[in-house]
Amino acid sequence: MINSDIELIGLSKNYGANKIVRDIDLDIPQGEFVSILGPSGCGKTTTLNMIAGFTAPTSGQIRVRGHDQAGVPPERRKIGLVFQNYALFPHMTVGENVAFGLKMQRKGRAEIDNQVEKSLRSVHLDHLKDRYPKELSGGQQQRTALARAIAPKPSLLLLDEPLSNLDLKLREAMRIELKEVQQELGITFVYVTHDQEEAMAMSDRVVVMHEGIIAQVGSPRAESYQSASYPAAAK
Amino acid sequence: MSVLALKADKRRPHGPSRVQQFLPLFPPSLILLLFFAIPMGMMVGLSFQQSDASGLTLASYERFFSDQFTLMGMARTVVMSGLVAICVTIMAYPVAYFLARSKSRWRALVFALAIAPELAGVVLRTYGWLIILENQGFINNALIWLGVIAEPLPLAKNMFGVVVGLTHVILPFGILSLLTSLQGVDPNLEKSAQILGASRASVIRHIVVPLTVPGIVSSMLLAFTMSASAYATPAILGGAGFKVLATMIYEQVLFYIDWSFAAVMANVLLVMMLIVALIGTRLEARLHQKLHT
Repeated sequence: MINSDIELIGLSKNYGANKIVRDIDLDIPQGEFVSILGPSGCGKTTTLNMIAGFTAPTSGQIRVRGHDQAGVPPERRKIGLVFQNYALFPHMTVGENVAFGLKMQRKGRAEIDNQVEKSLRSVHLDHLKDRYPKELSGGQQQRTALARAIAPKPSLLLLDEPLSNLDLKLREAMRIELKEVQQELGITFVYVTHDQEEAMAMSDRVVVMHEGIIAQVGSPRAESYQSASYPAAAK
Repeated sequence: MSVLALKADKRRPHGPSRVQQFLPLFPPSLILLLFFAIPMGMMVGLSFQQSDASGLTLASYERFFSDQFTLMGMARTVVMSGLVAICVTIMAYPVAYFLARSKSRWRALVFALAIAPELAGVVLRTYGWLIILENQGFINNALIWLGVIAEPLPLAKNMFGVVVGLTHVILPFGILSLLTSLQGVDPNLEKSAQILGASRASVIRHIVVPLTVPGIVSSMLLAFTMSASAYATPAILGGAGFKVLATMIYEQVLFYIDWSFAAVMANVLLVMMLIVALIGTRLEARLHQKLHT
């Protein structure tokens, strides 16, 4: 029996009469790389926002390592988050961006420096520590965002279409890098994407969402995904 | 004229000619020249003249800069405008932040309420403040009735009253100028900071405020220049003893009929505001460049 890192139990979100997420159940074990795959409007980003704590579920429960997260604000969930547009702090250097989470945890100077160094090294950016985000390429910005998210050592990392703004070649390289970082750190990754190929290439498990429900769950190597058995998955 | 038309025709494929491009600017330029540039020039000229002497003289300037009374008026103008700039910006910031971020249905109402004071005239609103602040006013009467104080507090006819009145008048402008700046901050930055462990207060302090410093500067600049040139509010709420450059200019023109001295004061006020505006816009441009592109 593998320990569950995150459990979604009967999770729903309505905006008025609009049912964005309908009664989903999902169990994610510690250290798994899970992709939530689906077209825009399928409820995948809303699900991510609920796990992060930015959106309160209408009904259902989110448990992290067995603890119910209802009422826990985002800043106390100890989760990492990487956005599609990177959301780097433009007034801080790469090093200061990566140090931000550790500073908020009131870690000591030496520990912060050490951890910043380590995080930047794991994304191969240690030489750009003193640059500002605007001086970086798209790929470098993406890696800075990743380093910033992993620096405070979260046990769970949420990624919202993190590679969508990169060109194809870079995207393929980053897939490998992301997977390496995930395996090296042993963090649970929840990766939201609309790109089936991307989901297949990296994940241990792919969760296909369609119109607010989980349409299909399985390993990317399973036969069913290659076929067009489910329209959203085949897209 | 026909030559111009011919030239314009030749250039047609490359878009409108230079003359055509600048043509729409002609009427407003003419109005500005007639009613702004020429009077300004006359005012500068006037400040170097004396009614009892021919030729140009620096006498009025010497008088201004050697007179304790006028120098005090200038200092009072700077202090008053600076205080208003600070008060407006501090009070406008939370309102602008709410307007920039809220998706609530109250947003439209708050926006309307924030701008509504501009619908009533400045003089009307200033008299409203006088009713509230004066010795026999609402606040003093209420406090005396409650037994908190025995003698009325000096709330009007002084710097305090004027700063309160001007802050109220200028607040909507501060809100609007901060709103633009706050809307330029990506909400994902705040979310990122929050998930990294920052409390609401830390997000504001470490992310939102540093990124809106250009907006803070422009709000302060706007409030400063509007206060320094305000006449009605300092005249009504300041009382006879409270002299700033704007009210002193009025006195010189209407009571002392010393246009030369009034022109000197107007020029001092103008130069003062130009200096503040120059420093402010330079600072703003530098900060903007640091944060963007």
